[in-house]
Amino acid sequence: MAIDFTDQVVLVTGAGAGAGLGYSCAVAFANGVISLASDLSSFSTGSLLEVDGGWNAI
Amino acid sequence: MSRMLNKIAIITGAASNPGLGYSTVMRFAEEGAKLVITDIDMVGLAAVEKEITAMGAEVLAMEQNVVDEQRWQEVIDATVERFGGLDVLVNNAGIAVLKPINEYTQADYNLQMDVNLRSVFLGCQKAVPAMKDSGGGSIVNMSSVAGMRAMAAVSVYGMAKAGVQILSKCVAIEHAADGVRCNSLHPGLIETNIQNDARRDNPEGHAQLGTMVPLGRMGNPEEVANCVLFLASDEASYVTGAELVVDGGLIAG
Repeated sequence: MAIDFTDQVVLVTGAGAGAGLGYSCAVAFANGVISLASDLSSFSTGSLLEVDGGWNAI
Repeated sequence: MSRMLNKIAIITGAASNPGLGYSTVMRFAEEGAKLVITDIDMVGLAAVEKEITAMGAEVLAMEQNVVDEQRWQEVIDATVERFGGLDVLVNNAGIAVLKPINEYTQADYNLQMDVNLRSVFLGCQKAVPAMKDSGGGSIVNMSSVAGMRAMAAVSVYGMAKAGVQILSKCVAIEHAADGVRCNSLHPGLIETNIQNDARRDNPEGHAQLGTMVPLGRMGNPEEVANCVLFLASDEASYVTGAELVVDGGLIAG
C-alpha cells in the first residue's frame, strides 16, 4: 500500500540533480514511499534518523 | 498492501490490545506479511490470530516465554518450517517494573533485565542464522526513551532499554556483511494497556502526562507500529545500527 499523499503540497529543494537526494525524494514522493514525511511518523518529531549503513553505529 | 509482501516476520508480545506488538501485527498484516506471533497470553494471542486470519493473512501463533532460550530456537525452527525462512524479527515483548531504587528486590531486577534485555539478546542470536540463510533480514528491537534519558523510578527499566540500544548497534555491526540490519525504536508515552493501568491507578496524574509532550498528547500504538513497519521494510534498506525516537518530541529538548 503506497502512502497517500493526495492533496498534500510538498516542496523539495535541490531536486534537479538526477543522482541526488532531492531528485530521489521527489521521485519517492511521486511514488508514495516517504515514511518520515508522511502521517506514518505522526508521533515522531525532534528526532534524528541516521541513514548510513551502520557507519555511525561503531 | 505491498510494503511487506511475502516477508516472513516474527513479532513477540503480540497479544496485548491496545499494545505495540498487536498494532505492529495489524500493520504488517495489512502490508502482506506472513506472520509468526508469540506471547505468553494464549487467550489474547488466539484473538489476534483470529482477527488477522480474517484479514487474509497467513499466521502461525505460538506460546513463547521470551526468556526461554530453547523456546526461541523452537520458534525460529517452526517459522522456517512453516514459511521457508525468516526476514523480520520484532523484539517487542517486555514488562515495566517501575519503583524507586531502594525498593527493588533482586527478583525485581532479574525479572526486568531478563524479560526486557536478555530476551532481546536471545532473539537476535537465534534469528540471525535463519536470516542469513534467507539472504538477509531486519531486526527491530523495541527500546524506549527511558533508555536515553534518566527518569525517577525507571532505573532498571531504563538500564534494560539502554542495553537494547547498544545491543542493536552491535548486532548491526557484526552482521551487516550478512545482510542483516538491526535498529532500535524508542517510543515515549504511548496509549497501551500499561498506560490504561496507570490511568486506573492515578487518573489525575495520568491526565497530566500528555501535557508534558510537545505535540500535546500521548501517542497511539499505531503511530509506533508505522515506524516499526518502516524500519522492517526495504524502504529502510540503508538504515542499520540507528535508533528512531517516536515520542512526540518528548526528549528533543
